[in-house]
Amino acid sequence: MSKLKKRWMRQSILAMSTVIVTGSILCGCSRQEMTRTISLPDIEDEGKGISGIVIKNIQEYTYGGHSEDNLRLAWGKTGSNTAIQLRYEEEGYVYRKIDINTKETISKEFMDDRMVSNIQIAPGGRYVSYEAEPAKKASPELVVFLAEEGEHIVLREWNESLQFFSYIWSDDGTKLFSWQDGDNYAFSPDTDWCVTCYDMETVKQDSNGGLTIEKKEFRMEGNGHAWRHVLPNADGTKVYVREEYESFSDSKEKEYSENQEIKKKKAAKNWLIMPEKQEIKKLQEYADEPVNPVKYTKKGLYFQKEGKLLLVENPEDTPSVKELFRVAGMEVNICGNGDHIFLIEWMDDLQSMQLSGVKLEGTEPTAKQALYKASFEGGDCISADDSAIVLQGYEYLENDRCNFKVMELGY
Amino acid sequence: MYQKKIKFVNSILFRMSLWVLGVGIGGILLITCFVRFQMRYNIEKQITEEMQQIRDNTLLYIHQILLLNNDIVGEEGFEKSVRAVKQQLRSVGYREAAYYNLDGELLEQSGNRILPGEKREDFEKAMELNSTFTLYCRKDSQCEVYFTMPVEIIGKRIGYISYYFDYGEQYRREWNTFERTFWITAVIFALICLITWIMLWRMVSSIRNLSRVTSEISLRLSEGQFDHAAAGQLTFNGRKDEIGELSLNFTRMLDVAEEQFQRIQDDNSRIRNLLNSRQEFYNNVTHELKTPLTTISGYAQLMEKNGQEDRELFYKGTRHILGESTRLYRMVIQLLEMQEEKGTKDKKVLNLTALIVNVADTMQIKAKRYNSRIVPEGIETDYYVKGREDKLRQVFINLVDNAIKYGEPGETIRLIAEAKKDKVCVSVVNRGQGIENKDLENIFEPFFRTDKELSRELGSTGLGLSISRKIVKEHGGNIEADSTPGEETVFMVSFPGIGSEVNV
Repeated sequence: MSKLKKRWMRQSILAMSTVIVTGSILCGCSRQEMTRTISLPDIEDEGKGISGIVIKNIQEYTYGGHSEDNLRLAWGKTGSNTAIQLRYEEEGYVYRKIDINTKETISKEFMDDRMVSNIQIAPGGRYVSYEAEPAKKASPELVVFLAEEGEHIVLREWNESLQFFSYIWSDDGTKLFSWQDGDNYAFSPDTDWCVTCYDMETVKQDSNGGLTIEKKEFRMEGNGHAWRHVLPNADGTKVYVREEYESFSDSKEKEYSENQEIKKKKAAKNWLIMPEKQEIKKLQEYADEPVNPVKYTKKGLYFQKEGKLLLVENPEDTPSVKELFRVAGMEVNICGNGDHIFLIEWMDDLQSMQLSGVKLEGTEPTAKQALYKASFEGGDCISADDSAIVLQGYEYLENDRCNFKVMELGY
Repeated sequence: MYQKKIKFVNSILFRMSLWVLGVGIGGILLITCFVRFQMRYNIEKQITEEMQQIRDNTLLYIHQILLLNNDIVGEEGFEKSVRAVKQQLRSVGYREAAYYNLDGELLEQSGNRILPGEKREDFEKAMELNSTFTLYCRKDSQCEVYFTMPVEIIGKRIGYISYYFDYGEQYRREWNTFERTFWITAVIFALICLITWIMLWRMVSSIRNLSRVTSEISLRLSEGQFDHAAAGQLTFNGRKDEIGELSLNFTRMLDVAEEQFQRIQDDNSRIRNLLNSRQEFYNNVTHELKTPLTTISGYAQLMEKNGQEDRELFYKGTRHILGESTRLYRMVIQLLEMQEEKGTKDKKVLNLTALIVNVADTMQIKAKRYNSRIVPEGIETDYYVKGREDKLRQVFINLVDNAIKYGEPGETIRLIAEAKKDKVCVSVVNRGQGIENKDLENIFEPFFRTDKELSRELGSTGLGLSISRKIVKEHGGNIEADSTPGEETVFMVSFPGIGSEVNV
């Protein structure tokens, strides 16, 4: 290669270096204009899929009032286009039935003037159950308010104020089940406990003109400090009961001492109560770890474990567990048939409540699909049956005012 | 100047610097491109995800509103509920929006921004295909997104919605991150380049130093000098790496080269001397041969012309011819002797003391002619050497003969035998005019004579001392001469001694 060529090459390298330096500085750190047009993929192509649940109608009722006025909102009987509202008014707690189309009160019943707590409106809104403290007694009593009659029935009274009771309505709102809670603060946890079934269809007038209700008690074997779950099916004909506890090596036989080494032996018992037949059937255990039963349906028993939803098929005979999907951070609601699973999530920095649905075809879940979304600061699911799911939510306004909303999503 | 520039351009430092710079800049460029690409990808990905969410939410809200208002899921229902939709979407934060029917006619608009749909690509694509957004990023860090989506409820398209979103803040944030990354990378690369360059410079400076020293040395070598002082300029700085090793090896190589150079110089000098002496020898031989031949030839011619008539000339000529031819013969014999290579196989242990006494006795007759006498000394001890008796006798006879011929007549010639350390020395000492210092070193050279005329008169061939030296050397000994002109001259011959009492 000639000297001239070599020289030319070197000069070229130098020139190129200079260009690169300048180019890198200019291109590297200077902001440039950019225009891009991007098409989003089809919803189906995104793999989001469709759950198969279609919301066919939405009805809602909004009550705007003082944040402390509203006690609870619920939906009336399906198709009745009514909303139920419990409010604290001058005379005390008032039950109102409201026409959601006209927003007018159809009926108004005085419920109670005592301090009440743990209020639950039965699905369909005919009954309201709550705990109230009688004037001269320290311990509360469990009361059911019959809205249509405007009457109360005291279901039971407790002698010890330390006793804690829980209760739950069946999906059809006709049966109420109460039981002694079994947490560590429960009175005498080792003693046997019972599940009581109140059938609202057995309400009748007694000889004194008062109302009575038939109750059926099912005695369960107490087994120490335990967590108890009572889950009735949709019509309350079957009730799944689970007692799950950390055994202190059978606290019934050996005296518990704090100095003793706590044996972390997990144990659980499962029963099926059939109130009409007055039967209790012991069920096989299906989990080797603590679980959180969610719903007892025709499909089987749903429970949550480590952020996942699982289904126990045939819990009454030969239980088999199937893992479905993750539900961590979601509120799970399942219809009585067990084939519609509704999930409530809080999104957009907890400013929006989104309802998603998953359908179970056989035992295979479909894709999760958003069904409803609204801006709420708080809310939950009131009920979920085989044709509709009822949600309630609220948002705070100025001057301690609040918007309470109840929605029925028919599907 | 041009040569200097060429040298600079060809230098390792320049080329490596260019490489380091190139790699550095290339690295920055690569990282910059990657970060830019990543930033763009992130922005697009994030906006795409958000648009998907907005689209899903919008469809959900519109469906809810249609259901709540009991409107038909269709274009008519959408047009009827568009105000409620606008209100709902505003309440969830989608403030800048425009609502269109299926023909692309504007139904409602919220916010201050006018969104003329028909001129935008995203709108056209949304009408033809699917939800599309256009991202405009400007140099002033403005980043706007125009998003148009078809409203499809339960698989039925009922209208279009265009949204405007300002992503300026996010874009600026991304750019700031990018700029920080760029400058940090640039600084890191600059530091790496600088450190690499310094290391390179250190390395190359040693090589350059080496190069300079070799250049200086080769320059001096071309002048026939070996400049070892230049090698001292090599600075190792205690380096133990390859450069240090190279410098060390180079210094060692210089030492060896210097030694070899010196040897070559010596050899050169010796060869030169040899060539000179050979030439001189040749000149001497031809001269020495020519002289008697001239005499012989001269007398032969004279005798041819006048020899028959002039008997005196005839006899004189005959005598000269005989004398010169005898000397010529002797010279030839001696020259042959000088060329002879005698091995050591004929050497025997002989009594040097007895040999000296014998030589002294033999030469007494000739000494008497010069009124001199020979006195052997140190003969009470027998000294033994290994050698050829006839040759050693020839050496001592030659030395004693020279002492007689060139010494002061009437003086005593001492023949001294003595032991010095592990050597046996025999010195021939005489008094006379002596030898000048300047001649002492040449007297053993062939045909060297201090007084040529005198020597020739005395019948000397000029080869005696040379032959003596050759014989002594062949016996592993040494011959030296020392003289104080006008006083004493000593010729000392030394041999490796094998003891003073040997059982022969």
